[in-house]
Amino acid sequence: MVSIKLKNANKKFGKVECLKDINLEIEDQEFMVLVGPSGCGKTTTLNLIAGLEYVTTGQVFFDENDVTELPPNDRKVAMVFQSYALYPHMNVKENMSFGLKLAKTNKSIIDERVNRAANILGIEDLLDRKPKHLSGGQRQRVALGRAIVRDPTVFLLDEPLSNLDAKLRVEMRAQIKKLHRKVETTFVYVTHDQVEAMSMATRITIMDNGVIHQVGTPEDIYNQPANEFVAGFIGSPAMNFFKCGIKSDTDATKLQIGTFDFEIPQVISDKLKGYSKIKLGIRPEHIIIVQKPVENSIRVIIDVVEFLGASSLVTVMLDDETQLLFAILVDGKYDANIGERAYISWNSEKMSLFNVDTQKNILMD
Amino acid sequence: MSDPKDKDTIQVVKPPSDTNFVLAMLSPAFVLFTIGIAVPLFLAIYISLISSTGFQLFGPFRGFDNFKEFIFPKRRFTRIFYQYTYQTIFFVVISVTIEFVLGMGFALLLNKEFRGRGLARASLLVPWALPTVISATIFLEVFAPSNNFGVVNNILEILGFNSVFFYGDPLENIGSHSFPVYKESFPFYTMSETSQMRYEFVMFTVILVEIWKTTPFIALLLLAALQIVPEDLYKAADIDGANAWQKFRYITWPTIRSPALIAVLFRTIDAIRVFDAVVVFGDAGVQSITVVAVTAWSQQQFGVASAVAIFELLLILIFALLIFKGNKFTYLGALTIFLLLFNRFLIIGIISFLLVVAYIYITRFWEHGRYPRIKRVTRLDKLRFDFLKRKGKGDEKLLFRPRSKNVIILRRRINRILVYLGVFSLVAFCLAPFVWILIRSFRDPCFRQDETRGCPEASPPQNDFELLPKYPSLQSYKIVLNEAETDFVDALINGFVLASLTAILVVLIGSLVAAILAKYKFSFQTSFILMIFAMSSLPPIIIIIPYILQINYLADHGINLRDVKLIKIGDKSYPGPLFPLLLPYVAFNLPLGVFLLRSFFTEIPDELILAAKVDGASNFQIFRKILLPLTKPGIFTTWMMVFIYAWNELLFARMFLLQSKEFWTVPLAILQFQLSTSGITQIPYSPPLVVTAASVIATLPLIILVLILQRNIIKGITAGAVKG
Repeated sequence: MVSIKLKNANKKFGKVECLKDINLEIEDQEFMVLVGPSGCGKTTTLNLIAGLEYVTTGQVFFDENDVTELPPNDRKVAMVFQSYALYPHMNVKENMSFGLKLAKTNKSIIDERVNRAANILGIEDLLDRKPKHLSGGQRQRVALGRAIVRDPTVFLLDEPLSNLDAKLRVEMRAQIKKLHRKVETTFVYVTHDQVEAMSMATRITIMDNGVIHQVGTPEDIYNQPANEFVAGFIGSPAMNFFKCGIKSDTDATKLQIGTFDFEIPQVISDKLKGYSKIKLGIRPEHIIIVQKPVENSIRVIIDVVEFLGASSLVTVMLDDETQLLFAILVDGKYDANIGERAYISWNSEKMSLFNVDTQKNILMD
Repeated sequence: MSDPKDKDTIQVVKPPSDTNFVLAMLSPAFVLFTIGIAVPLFLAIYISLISSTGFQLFGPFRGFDNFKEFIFPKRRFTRIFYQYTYQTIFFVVISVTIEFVLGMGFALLLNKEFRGRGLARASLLVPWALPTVISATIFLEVFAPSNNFGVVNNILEILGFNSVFFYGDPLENIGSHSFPVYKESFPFYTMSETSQMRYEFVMFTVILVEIWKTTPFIALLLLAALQIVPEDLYKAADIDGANAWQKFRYITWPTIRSPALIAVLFRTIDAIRVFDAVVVFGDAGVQSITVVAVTAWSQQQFGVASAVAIFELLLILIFALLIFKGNKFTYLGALTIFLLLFNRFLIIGIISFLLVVAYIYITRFWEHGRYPRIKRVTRLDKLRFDFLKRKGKGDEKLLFRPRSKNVIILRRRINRILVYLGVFSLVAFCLAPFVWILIRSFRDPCFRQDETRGCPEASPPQNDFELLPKYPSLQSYKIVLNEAETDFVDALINGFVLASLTAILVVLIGSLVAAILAKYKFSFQTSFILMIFAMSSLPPIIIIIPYILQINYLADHGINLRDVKLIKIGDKSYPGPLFPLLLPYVAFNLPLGVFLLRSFFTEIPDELILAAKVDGASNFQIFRKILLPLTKPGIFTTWMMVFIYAWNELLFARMFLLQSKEFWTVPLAILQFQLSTSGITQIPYSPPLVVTAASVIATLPLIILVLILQRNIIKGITAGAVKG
């Protein structure tokens, strides 16, 4: 229903600077996920949008309207909390219609809206129950229902799935996604789980220490992380990072990994001019492991093999005195003996190179 | 592990049962309950039915004559009974209502986040830590007539009002006001213009003292209850657009309702038993049922005294039932009965009762007409007044409600200022009276030189109101500590011995019980908890009469409990006459101790106990080596709370110790000093000023202790409420 814009938003709690100069635009009908480690300021950002907290300096816009000082009800937002925050002494219907009741809405309208929301979520038979007689997943649905009934400008969801068990979480993930399609409203979703973020978002905002690191679609963020933090945070198992030197010959530029060399194509090496040291990042699933040496490969010793079901996680060690460790994701079961020699290589388009000092992705500029 | 080869050689060891351990740990409390509460309670009922006029435990059976002595017209205690019961109920209803509203306000205020919240919370504990005698003394001083330099009256005079006699009206004002007076025939009260009693504001002064003293405590209990409400609910309500009142009405109140009612119940019970506050003012305008019993007692009518005490217990039960089971109908009924009995507004009472009956009748008829098939019981508490509400506005069509930014910001700023104003007045409310007597205690009390009576020098007596003392000196303190008139040093020692012994016993017995309640499950748990709390709700007067008779009976038969000698301090042997006081003190403070200690014990994780069990510790070893060491701060807090209660207690101390002056406790010494000096003229100093010094000495250590321990105390009360 609305697009949201945070403009130079700062938030301080006493002397602690929680958000530093946040600029964020959320488009209409978008599913925006705010993700980051705990304490990064993502919930505070959400509260600023909701109006539960107010910026210290800066502005918040809904479409063209400045809502910086408006309380939550005047912004007509809906919010789903991690603890669900269902009123324990009211039954499901009362819970869902509480906001409307306070707004003195007509009873027929209330009934109609509650029934519609219950219908969407499949909780029609629960309307007379109290929250304590509901299971976790049902409570989650009621909380969503309460949000739907408000017919809000934006849905704000604060880690709504973290109290559910793993199986239910996957189920609800799909439900929320479906709900987003049905109600055609802007969603802002906060989570610390990057899998949730990747699977649900149309766009992701990655935050740390009160700063936005990158905003983009899941693919963008996965393939072209803006900096080392984003690269390390997104993706499981996490990206491999190595410091390497750069060796320029007349015909080719090579990265020095441990005592091995890895040749890189001209396109990339053009961007590396002026650097003597960089940090290489390569995702485990982008590394190929073979028994026999191939072109541009590195000799390693197999250290650990973990079978994960659909794939195996192989940890290997460089076959030199640096003994750097690589994590490699291999499809299916990987048969090899510990201590065996093997060779690894990767497509140089898949790797990311970071500035050692600024930690920015060199290849993105 | 392989299976044992030969089953016969293996002894089957049952897992050790906890039952014996639980019983062993609870037995001291059981014994205490039996001796301290159950036996005296049954004796009280027995005494109320016999003719007991001497100091004897047995006498001829009298039936209900003792009850008739104060219920039937034209008997010995009828007049004061009706008079004082009326006053008690008035006092209870008004003071508890105001305390609750005010306490709720304080609690909501202190639940907010602001700078200096810890300090504000700590200041709540100050009025509560003072003995009632002293807080009443403070207000005697504060509300003194303007010619006696009372601060309130002087402010009133500065503002251009007439002076108000807050207590003890001088003689010339007698009889000029109309108020309910007892008549010898039914209805017992009527409005009268010709009364021989002094009456003006004393009821309200007493209520104010009570409010000042106990609002903080109720605020603490409510604050504790507020911790249960999850923060997220308020956020959700914010999103739903609830304003402050709606948040309270729909979220806070439904969540804290039952702990709040328990707090109200505690306060009501306490208020019905009121004694200290009314005795200090010593004014017929305010007395309480307990005073009726004490009066009967002092006239050697022990049967009647017990009967009055039983009536007091009944009144407590009625109030408890009303609070927990009441609805609009029962409230109205109770009010009607009250009005009928005490006839203040007899006509209004009857009319309102008739109206209620008529209303029920009409609504029932009406309901039948509408739903002929469904049998519905009309409940008055389910009545709806929807038609009074404004009609719904329908749906908001605007996406955003436009509001001026400046107005919103201004409103927020005003809110913040209001919060700080509220906090400031809260702190002032709690501290100001104490600060005032602290200031007054430095005024030189001597107005005449008299070396023998502790006044080596004299300064002019006070003529005008002095905000700060004109002649500052420490003379009051010197008189308090050196003069034989007061015996104050003795009282300090007595109080300390008595209070610390009580506190130690309570902590000992209480920690046994609390550990069991917190960490073990047993079959009669609920009834045990009820028993513990029933102990604290009995009026002490009901226990005290048979208890004293018991002690006397034992003394007559060679066992003198007033003569137990354990420690020698100075030239006296303790505990001496203090010894029989220990039992009721411990019995009445045990519930508090259990309540506090349990909340500290519950915080210890169960895994620690399991780990100790795996390490092979016995149940008692777990208690000694794991639970007790981990609750040291809790134990100390409890010790101190009980110490304060025992230090402040007046009723028991007065009835047991009045004859043995050298064993007076601090409140008793202060009370007696006040009573004894009020008539004497040759004293060279002003007694009220000396009393302020005595009050400061008696309470400053407590206040400092409380302030140091405030975090633990508040935590103890809070945790207890959250989990209980």
